[in-house]
Parts: sequence; structure tokens; C-alpha cells
Amino acid sequence: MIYLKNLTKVYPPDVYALRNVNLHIKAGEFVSIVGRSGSGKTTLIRLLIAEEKPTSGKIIIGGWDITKIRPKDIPLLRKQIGVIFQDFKLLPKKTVFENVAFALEVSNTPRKEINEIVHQVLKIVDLEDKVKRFPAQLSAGEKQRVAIARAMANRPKILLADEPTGNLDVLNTREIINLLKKINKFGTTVLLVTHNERVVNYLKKRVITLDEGEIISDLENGRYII
Amino acid sequence: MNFSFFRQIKIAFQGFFRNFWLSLATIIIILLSLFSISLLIGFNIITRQATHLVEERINLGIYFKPEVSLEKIQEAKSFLENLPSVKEVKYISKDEALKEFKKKHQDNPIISKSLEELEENPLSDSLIVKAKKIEDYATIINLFNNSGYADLVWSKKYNENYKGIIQKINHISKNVQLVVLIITLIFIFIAVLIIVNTVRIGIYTYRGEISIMRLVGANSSFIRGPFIWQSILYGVIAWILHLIILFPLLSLIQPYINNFLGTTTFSLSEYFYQHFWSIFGWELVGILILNVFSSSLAMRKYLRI
Repeated sequence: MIYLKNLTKVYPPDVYALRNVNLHIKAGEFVSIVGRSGSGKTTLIRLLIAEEKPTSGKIIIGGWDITKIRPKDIPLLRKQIGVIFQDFKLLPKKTVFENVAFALEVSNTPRKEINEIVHQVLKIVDLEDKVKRFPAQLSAGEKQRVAIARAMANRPKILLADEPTGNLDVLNTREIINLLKKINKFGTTVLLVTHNERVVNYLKKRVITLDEGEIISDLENGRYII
Repeated sequence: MNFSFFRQIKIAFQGFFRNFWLSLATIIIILLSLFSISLLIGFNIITRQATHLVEERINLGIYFKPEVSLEKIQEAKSFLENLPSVKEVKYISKDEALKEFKKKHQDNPIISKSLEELEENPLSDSLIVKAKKIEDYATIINLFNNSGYADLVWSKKYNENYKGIIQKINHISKNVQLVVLIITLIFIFIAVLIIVNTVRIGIYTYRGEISIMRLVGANSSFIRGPFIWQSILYGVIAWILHLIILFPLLSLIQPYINNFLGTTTFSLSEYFYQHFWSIFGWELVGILILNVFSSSLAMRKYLRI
């Protein structure tokens, strides 16, 4: 599903965010990427959604070489990759329903279809009863569930989660991780970037550890080792 | 069905009301630009009308000696009518001329009494010549003088003083038009700056939405579209408001226009109605192009997609 070949990203003048990264993530995998701050985790996410271009190397997603992706093709890539962040990135003036629907509105989806999909994804994240609430009326865990619903609205093949539990308490963290596992079970490849040792150890899935832009370990059923 | 189109329009309206006061300021400056353009057009029309009215009063009067026969005068008339620069030649007999003269001076007892004392009609048969262009009169006079009919004439009258009036009108109108044109260009320049700034603030206000649009795979036309529609909305609203204000204003200034032209036959608002789309249609097209250009400029500079 995701191939990274000798991927390097250098920020001027000579800061190496990623150095010669080689990686293969199979379709349907659940992979945690761990590492200290500045180890290159977020850069990796930004490269995968074509927010940045690599300095050298190759990125292939689903057989599509996006290394030199043209700006007009980026929307198509992003429809296939759902992304969630630590700060949720919800629109405060829109309701739960509208926040999720927004992801579909931008892609010329008919209203009837939007209604169906939004209700489906809100059912998956268990927020069906809060469709009319605004983000300010939700707990942090609920906000992240809305963000996940929005990320899933376009039925992406890959879900990138950049520190999704960073703002959550233990209980909500557990809920979100279980939700990501549920989404993974449906067949979506999940890439979880986290600092959270307990989350990684709880998951017992593949763990890739980055340090100073390099992969220092890649273990199936791994544990947090930093 | 293109759902994106309606969603873009919806977002454009939201943006319009989110920064309402800024939208209003933008509309007012576009309105002023449109007003000055209409003023420029109106002024041009009035000047043309004034010049036309003065031109109508210019003619060449050729007065024949009393012994010249009607046949000879008709020959001279044909000669003049065949000249390419002549628009019209009118024969006025001395009886008609006297009748007209009496009518014109009926309130002047001295002239009336003097005419009664004269036994014969003192006036002569004449031809009134109208040229196609003012500059043609000199050529017509020259050609007539060199023709065989010159000896039949005892007087030629060319009211040249009107030429000076036309020159004055043109001179004043050119200066006023220049001033109005400069004001229009200033307004247009301010309008471009204000639209650029409004779109810039719109982009800032919408930064949350824009970042999410990008994240969920909105294409650039969907992200840019609302800003373009918003600027079109400004243009259309300003154009409608400009028309709503312009026509009552024209009715108010019409008496002054009549006074200036010395006639009541010309109505500026009537002219604007008759040429509505060729004047205001183009104004709308022009202002929309300007608005789309300004918003594109702002997006190019401030919107990162």
C-alpha cells in the first residue's frame, strides 16, 4: 500500500528531517510510528499527504508515485487518505453533522448521499445522538471522534493519525484507539503517529521507531522502546 | 448536477455577511467608480447633443439678385445638391422670406411700420445650404464662387460664429472629461485595492475552512470559487444600487440639462433607457472583469493551496 524508497527530506540549510527512509506498509496494516519530538514523524505524515515534497527518494501509495505529484492531482490523493490531528481541526461554527458533511460537500457529492454517509460514519464513531451539537458542546474525546468521522467520510484507503490522543485523558485515549482498531478491521490501513507508550504497548501491532530522521527499529507486535 | 457550484455560492454569501461592513465599503467604492463612469458617459452624450444642436444652426445662405429667374436659381440649387459635401439645399422664395421676417418681428412696431412704407419686397430669393461637416463650408463657398452662378448672387451669409461656439464646447468638454476620467481611474484603482484587501481578509477569516478543504481533498477551483463569486456579488450589487440611484438623480438634473442645451426635446434618462444594455451592460461586464481580476490578484498573493 505504502512504499518509501530512500526517502530524504532536508530543510534548508541542512536540517535532515528524514534520512534515507525505506519502508513498506501493506494494505490493511495498523502501524504505529513512534519517536521523540523532531524525529521526523510529522514530516513523514506531511510527505504522505503531499503537503511537502521530498528532497530525494520515492513515495508510492497504492501503486501511484506521488514523489513529484502535480498540484492538480493532490485533491485526488487526499480523498484517498484520511487525516486526524491532535487539535481536531473542527470548524467551531458548524455542527457535528455539518463538520462531517463539509468533507463531502467539497467533492460535489449530492445532498442525499451526504446525509446517508454522514449518518453512517457518525454511527461508527457512536455520535449519532449528537449531530446537532457544536464542537464547544463536546468533550475532547467526542471532538476527536467527529474528526475521525470526517476523515472517514470519503472512505479513504489509508487513515493517518498524527498524535490523535495527545489532548485526551486515559479513558478517551482508550476509546479513540479502539475506534481506530475498529476502522482498521473494516480494511483501512492505519498509520498512527504517537508518543504514548501505553497506547503502543496496548495495541501490540507493528511499531516503527524513528530517531533523528532514521528508522532505528521496525518490529511486528512491537513495544515502545525509546 | 453541479452541487459544487451552489455550495460555492453559499460560501460566497456566508463570506459576504461574515465581513459585512467590509463588504459594504467595497460595494460603496465600486458604486462610486460606476457613478463616475456613468457621469463620464452622460457628460459625453450632453456635449455631443450640444454640439449637434449648434451644428444644426449653421448654414450658408445664398441670396440672389432680384432679376435672377427661378429657373437659374433651380440650376444653382442642382449644382449645389450635386456637391458631395452638401447635405441639403433649401429654396426660400422672397415672399416666404418676407412672411417669415414679419412673423419674427411682429412685436417690433418700427420694423413693421418700415415694411409697410416700402412698396416692394426688399428681400430676395435664396438658397439655404447645409454641409455634411462644418469644415466643408469653405470648400462649398469656394466651388460656388468658381462656378458660373457666382455672378447671380448679391450676398452670401455664413454664420461662422457658431463654429467658435462648437470649438468652445469641445474645448470645455475635453477638459471636463479629462478631469472625470482621472477621477474614474482613481476610483477604479481604489476599488482594486479595496477588493484585494477584502479578499485578503476573507481568506484570513476562512483560514480554518480553507485548511480543512485542502485536507479533505477540495480542488483549487472549489477553494478559490467562493472568493470569485463574492467579488462578482459585490459588482452586481453595486451595479444595481448605481442604477437605482442614477435614474432619479437624472430626473433631478434634467431641468439643468434643458437649460444648458436650450431645448426640452432631449432627455438624458430617455437616452440611457434607449441604450440601456449598450451602456450599463458594458459597465457591468467591465466591473465584473475588474472584480474577478482583483480577487484573482489577492488569491495569487495570499491564498496558499
